[in-house]
Amino acid sequence: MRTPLVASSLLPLLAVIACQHGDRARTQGGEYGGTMVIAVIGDADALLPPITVNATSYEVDGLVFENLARPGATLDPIGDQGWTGQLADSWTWGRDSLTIGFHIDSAARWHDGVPVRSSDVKFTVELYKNPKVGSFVAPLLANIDSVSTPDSSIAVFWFKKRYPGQFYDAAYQMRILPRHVLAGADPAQLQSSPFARHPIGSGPYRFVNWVPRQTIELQADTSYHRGRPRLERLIWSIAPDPNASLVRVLSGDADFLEFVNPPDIPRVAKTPNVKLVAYPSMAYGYLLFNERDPNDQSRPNALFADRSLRRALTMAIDRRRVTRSVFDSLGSVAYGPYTRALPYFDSTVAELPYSPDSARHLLDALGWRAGPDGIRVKNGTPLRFSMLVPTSSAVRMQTAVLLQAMFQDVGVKADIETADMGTVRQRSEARQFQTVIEAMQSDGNPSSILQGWGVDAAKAKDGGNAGSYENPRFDALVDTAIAQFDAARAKSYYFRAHSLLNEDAPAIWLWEPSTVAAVQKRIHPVDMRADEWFANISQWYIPSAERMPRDQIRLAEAQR
Amino acid sequence: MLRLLLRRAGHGILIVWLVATATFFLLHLAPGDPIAASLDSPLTPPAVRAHYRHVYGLDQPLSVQYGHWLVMMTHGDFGFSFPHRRPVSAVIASALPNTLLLMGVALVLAFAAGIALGLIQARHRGRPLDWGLGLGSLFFYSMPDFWLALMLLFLFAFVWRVFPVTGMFDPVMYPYYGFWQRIGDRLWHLVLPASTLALLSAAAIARFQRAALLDVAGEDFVLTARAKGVSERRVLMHHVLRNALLPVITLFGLALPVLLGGSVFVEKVFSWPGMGLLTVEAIGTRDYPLLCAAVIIASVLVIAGSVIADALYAVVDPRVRLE
Repeated sequence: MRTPLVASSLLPLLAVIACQHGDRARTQGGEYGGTMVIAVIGDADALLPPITVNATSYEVDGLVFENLARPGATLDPIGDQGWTGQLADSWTWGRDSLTIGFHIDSAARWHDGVPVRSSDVKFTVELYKNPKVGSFVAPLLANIDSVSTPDSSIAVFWFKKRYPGQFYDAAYQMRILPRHVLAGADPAQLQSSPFARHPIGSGPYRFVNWVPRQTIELQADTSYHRGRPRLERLIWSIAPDPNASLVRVLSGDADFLEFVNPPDIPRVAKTPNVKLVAYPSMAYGYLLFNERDPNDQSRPNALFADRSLRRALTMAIDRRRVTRSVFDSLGSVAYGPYTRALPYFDSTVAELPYSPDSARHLLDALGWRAGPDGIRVKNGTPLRFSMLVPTSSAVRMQTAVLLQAMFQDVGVKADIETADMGTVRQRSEARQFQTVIEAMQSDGNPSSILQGWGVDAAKAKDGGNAGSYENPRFDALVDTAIAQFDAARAKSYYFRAHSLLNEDAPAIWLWEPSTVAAVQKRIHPVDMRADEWFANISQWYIPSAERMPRDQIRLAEAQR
Repeated sequence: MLRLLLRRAGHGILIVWLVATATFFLLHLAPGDPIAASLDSPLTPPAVRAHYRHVYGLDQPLSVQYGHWLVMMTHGDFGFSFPHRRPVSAVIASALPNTLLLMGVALVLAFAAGIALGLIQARHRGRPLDWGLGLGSLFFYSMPDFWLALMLLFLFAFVWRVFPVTGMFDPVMYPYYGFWQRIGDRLWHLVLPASTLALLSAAAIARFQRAALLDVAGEDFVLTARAKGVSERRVLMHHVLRNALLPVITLFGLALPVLLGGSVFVEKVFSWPGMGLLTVEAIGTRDYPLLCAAVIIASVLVIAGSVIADALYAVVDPRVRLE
């Protein structure tokens, strides 16, 4: 548990973090050049967007390739309000709203010089949807029927039905790929194709080099159709040990670390050349109850199928204290599977209060009476269960210890069961657990909530609803919300769905960590988006006066 | 001699097969698989996981998977690593030279320093220098490798900033260096990890070497040499040391598998992309083909190491004959 001393030591950081917006005024200077070294703990798997699953690949792909359009700061998934063009410079909706025609920017070029055409868009959609490719995005594109190309600059998306997320699915779920390079490739072998290790995109940065498990290098595309990026080179430097990655930033060997563990923040704050930058997070953590018997999933769980018991256990947990203890001032209490960074978040959503007395009364009423050792018993069965936690997550281990003590206070015995991450993931997928502490990254599309909590996902073998929570009313409310074209009405349905979820207590919502990055002070202005921290990196720059020897390599020298 | 080597090779193949088979089944019996470990988001559609399990045959009965794997092994095909999205042979080929470089340099340094320290201690037996060096080697011998690595990293890379923090080369400048600058950069990055490993090993070797030297120093032929008026330096270097190298040669043979396996912690702390780190990462991602390949290579080297140690024994000590 964190001491008050550490808490107070974090206070000056808030001032540091709060000052970051002041940099924005200077971005108009137009200084080009410099190299930014990004410290990461994992290598990329493949640089091919349809099959990319890890964070480093996603970041590199996001700068080498482009979407048709990008969302505004609110990440609103309904319609196209707030969206700006990326590969497309304009779009037109069909009269029946069953089509959207995207006009490809005529200045857009692949990095090998070939113009980007509408046929590339059509090819990309077909590739993502091809079952042989195995893209995890494919199921999200089920409502896109086809793409037609009336001419080389217009790609028309045809939808099976009219729905609010049409634009989101067409413009944001896919990164456009070059048909002229990939057309001959076997879709089943794409992941091991040369392209996956040496991609050609149309984004602001060109791929230069990838030394497996060491570095990935990109350089600015000076002819990028939306304007030349200011930083000339980006290098992902891979160091599997998180401490080593942090030391690299503190010593000046690297410029950027996306996430600083809360215990390391005071140390970073004391380093003169490094600043801490907080940005919105889409991560949240929760204790998930398994509502089916882990040993026989055709039967309900002897404990957690009981909604009242889940509610009592939820009320036994002081979530504010847990959050404060684990994250200090750099975390907030979670309100549900929907984080503050997303549209339709509402902090007035119904939630169960922290009330150990209410929890005790409810447990008494359910027949769980305190036994001689203080642990509640019903029909000879103690109120005891296990909490599955991955050993590699210090945050979740710390959370488990706090939860265990709080459960103990109301006469509930919770055993901490540790396993490596692969085992936790496999057991969660196979639903072989009593409870598990999960940490999730919420999706920008609020309709994806059904993948984690919907009835279909509960019934599907190894579906995303590992706790097997089922409430058709919840599904109906989300389905209704998804179908709304009016943002206010959609919000009201999401509000009701989230409230119902909280009333049913399929999980104890714990925390939303604030994400804090460590960045060399010479990098300006460092504005980051919750879904993609690198989304605005083309506008970041290093003033001439603050450049180091590694910034002096010019693009001409970098050509190899 | 040839018959013996052939017999040892036959035993070796049998041992490698047994070890590899045991590894295969133990790995598959453990919870999880590479698909669940890599596609670990609960939002990953089940159909996608099922697709990849089908593609890689993970939905087949274990006996069928074993049969496929065995056939691949006999063709020299280690399979495909899903987490790396590359053939296992390519993944190992990119990690193995890094480990050989690090461990090779570390071993040479360790043996050179360990033998030298042992000599100095034996020559100054019972004096303050012997006592001081003994204490120093005991200090490093009992030190956990990750702790020493972290301390060296903290002092030399963070506080004094003499050496680079991690990696095998400067991620920014290396591609733009000339040939000699690249060599220098590589060596510069090698100093801390190689020194860490060398310090740890040299301490053990020095203790072995000192004990062996003192054993031999009491032998009759050493007394005879001294009685004949041979200089003390010549006695030590030509008579005592040569005979006292035998136990150290055994250590060298046994070090071969260590050379490949690398030092997991040192590789992790210094982000050295070698075999040790690769194997540990493969355990986390349940990368069955990669782990099986790593175990096979390690077991081959253990066997090769013991054969080499026997052969070296015979070369150094004429009294020992392989027959």
